[in-house]
Amino acid sequence: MSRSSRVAVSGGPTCCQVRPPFTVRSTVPRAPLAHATCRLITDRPRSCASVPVGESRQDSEPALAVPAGAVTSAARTSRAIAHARFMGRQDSGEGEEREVDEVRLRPPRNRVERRAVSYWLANELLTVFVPAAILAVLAVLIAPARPWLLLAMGVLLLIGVPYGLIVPFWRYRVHRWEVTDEAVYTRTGWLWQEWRIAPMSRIQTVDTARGPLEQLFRLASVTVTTASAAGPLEIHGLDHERAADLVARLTETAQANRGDAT
Amino acid sequence: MTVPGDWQRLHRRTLAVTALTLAGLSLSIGTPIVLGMLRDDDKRAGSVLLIALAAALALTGGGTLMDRLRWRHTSYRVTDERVELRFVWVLHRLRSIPRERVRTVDLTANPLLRAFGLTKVKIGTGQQTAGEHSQLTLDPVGRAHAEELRRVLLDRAPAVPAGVAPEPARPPIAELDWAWLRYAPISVTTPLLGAAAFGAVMQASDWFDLQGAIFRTVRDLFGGLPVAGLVAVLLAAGLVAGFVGSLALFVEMWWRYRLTRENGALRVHRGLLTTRSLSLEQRRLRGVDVFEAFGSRLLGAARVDVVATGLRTRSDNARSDPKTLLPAAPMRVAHRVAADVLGASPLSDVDILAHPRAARSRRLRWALLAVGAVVAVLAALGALFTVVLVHLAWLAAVVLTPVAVALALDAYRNLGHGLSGDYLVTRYGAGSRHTVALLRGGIIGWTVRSSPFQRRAGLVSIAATTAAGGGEYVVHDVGESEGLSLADDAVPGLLKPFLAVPPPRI
Repeated sequence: MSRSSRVAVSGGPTCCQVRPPFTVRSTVPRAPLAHATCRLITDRPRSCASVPVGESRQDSEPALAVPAGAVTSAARTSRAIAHARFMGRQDSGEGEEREVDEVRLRPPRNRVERRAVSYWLANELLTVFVPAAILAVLAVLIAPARPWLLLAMGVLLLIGVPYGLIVPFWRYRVHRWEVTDEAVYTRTGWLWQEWRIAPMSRIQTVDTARGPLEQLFRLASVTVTTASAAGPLEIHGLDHERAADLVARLTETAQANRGDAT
Repeated sequence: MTVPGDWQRLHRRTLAVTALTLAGLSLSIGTPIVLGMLRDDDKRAGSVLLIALAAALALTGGGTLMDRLRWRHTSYRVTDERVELRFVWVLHRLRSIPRERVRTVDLTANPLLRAFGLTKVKIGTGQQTAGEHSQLTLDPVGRAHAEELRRVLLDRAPAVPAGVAPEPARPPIAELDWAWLRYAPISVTTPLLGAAAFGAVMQASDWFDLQGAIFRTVRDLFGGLPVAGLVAVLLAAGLVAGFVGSLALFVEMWWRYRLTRENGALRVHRGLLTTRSLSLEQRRLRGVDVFEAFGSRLLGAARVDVVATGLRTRSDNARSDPKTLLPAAPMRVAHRVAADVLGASPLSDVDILAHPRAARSRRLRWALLAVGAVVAVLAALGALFTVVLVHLAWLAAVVLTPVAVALALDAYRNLGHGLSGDYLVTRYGAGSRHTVALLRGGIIGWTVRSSPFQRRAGLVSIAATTAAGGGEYVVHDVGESEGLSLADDAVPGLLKPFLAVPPPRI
């Protein structure tokens, strides 16, 4: 049983979809019942309201994490010079290295739940072992095709098992998220990595989804969509109560930012 | 307002249009089938014809009846707040769009509709994701009424007080210049249309059982030529057909093309047989994409596409792609139109900055890997089966390597980015080239991607996500610090909290 729900942010799409948990409805009520359903979808006991969203240092730390004061001033001057050069340069056609001051994206502050590793492990191994088991059964039953079926099973296990054992840990090291008053910031992927930033004022909908396996590990994922056709921001592997709080907070903040969101 | 606020029906003549369309359809489907059956067995000619006629009548009659039901029970109205379309019979359906959300009004009339003085009106909102719900189609209404609707729905200007002379009509931003016809044949459509012409001849001759006769004619005409000569003659014939076809297509699409601005909306009007008229509210505009297809680029020409919210990116009919503001025209014209449309000239003013050399190495590596893969497959197959493929493999290596390297170098030279006034400019493409100017205020987020190889070379690809056009526009393979500074400058404040200065290297 998969539970998913969606809350429309005002100023977002006109027809908002509200699907309460435990019911599957093909038609959705048109009225944006954001306040009424917010409690409903989060479906959390009152005692959990104290669980904080994000780390406390999020708001107290200075915006730029700078190692030392001396470095800062040096970096600022070099930045100003580099910027002047950067803006005033002609198209040379050849890429000589320009001197631009060094900046990096810092990782988002929050890791996902440690349990997410177990969830990913279970998920990956299930997707390998179930087809492998089917192939094995077929190999027992169908004698003529046995070598080929066993070969297919062998290849599947050879690729799938190391993948399933390594990637979850790797993913856990990469996946991070952060929500500030201005923006949602996520990092996902493992070999190919993706950093995404969406400003609060452009958020259209905030969804949570929990698959059956995720429910087993008490996890949930949060999907934040903007008006862009390039796909939503997704935060996987959150504790499900924390996810509910996050959705409530995002919805609230995004509602405060009225506008067209395009 | 002259459009009344009560429910009205669609135009009654839709019935005639539907009937004629279906009759034409049955004729075009039925003829080859009947001909095919008659060829097999001549004795049943009468009954076959009778059945075909009955089927055609049933299709036409049934379809027209359905259309009559649709017409009878469909009505629409434009009130002060909303545009509504309803269908009330057995099931009730009401589609309603708030008028202040109307962003585009698209008038299309195919030749049949035009003959009856009708036009199809599509009213769209700014949403891309909601699909069907975001637009409303009135199919069809009278032509004059459609013009009226378009004017009323997109008229956001404050009412002109009595006694003040109306604003004088401004000259159009661009009009068709027949010299642009020369860019039409140099595109992919030429070989495609040529191939299609061959296919059509073969198919039609098959229906009428004339394929053998055609082969004989060709053999008699060119029997004296060697095989290579015959191939050359056929290729030439195909190219000529494609050439003529692409010219005809251009004329059909761009006949009486005009790009104008009225009441704060851009308007494109064009088409010979099917007339199309797209109106686009100025404040939906997020930028332009100047596209130089490979052929056009050789002749120094470029097409101008609009980047705007509320336009479908994947149009169901590519030929009537609504996003094109200007067909391939000389670069100077393209830049002037882009500047005129945007009200700024980011494309001519911007200093486009090149990307780090590592981006060139990446492109060269991709090119050589691609050639290597093709050669390896050919060689492996050759070693297993026939020696011909081995020869093909080294030929491919000799021919493809320079092409791939040239494309890679071109792709690197095309890479570029810059900021100019309110616009972020990114340029990319191998062979063909896109130069996109995106309104900085229209950027609704950033996506930074890096592969392991990019991380080793210190590169990232930075995508500005937007509600318009393709959803995101990418600055490919830019140096990490440089790209992040660019993004930070383009939308001040958004990226800043997430940037860090790394400790100095010792």
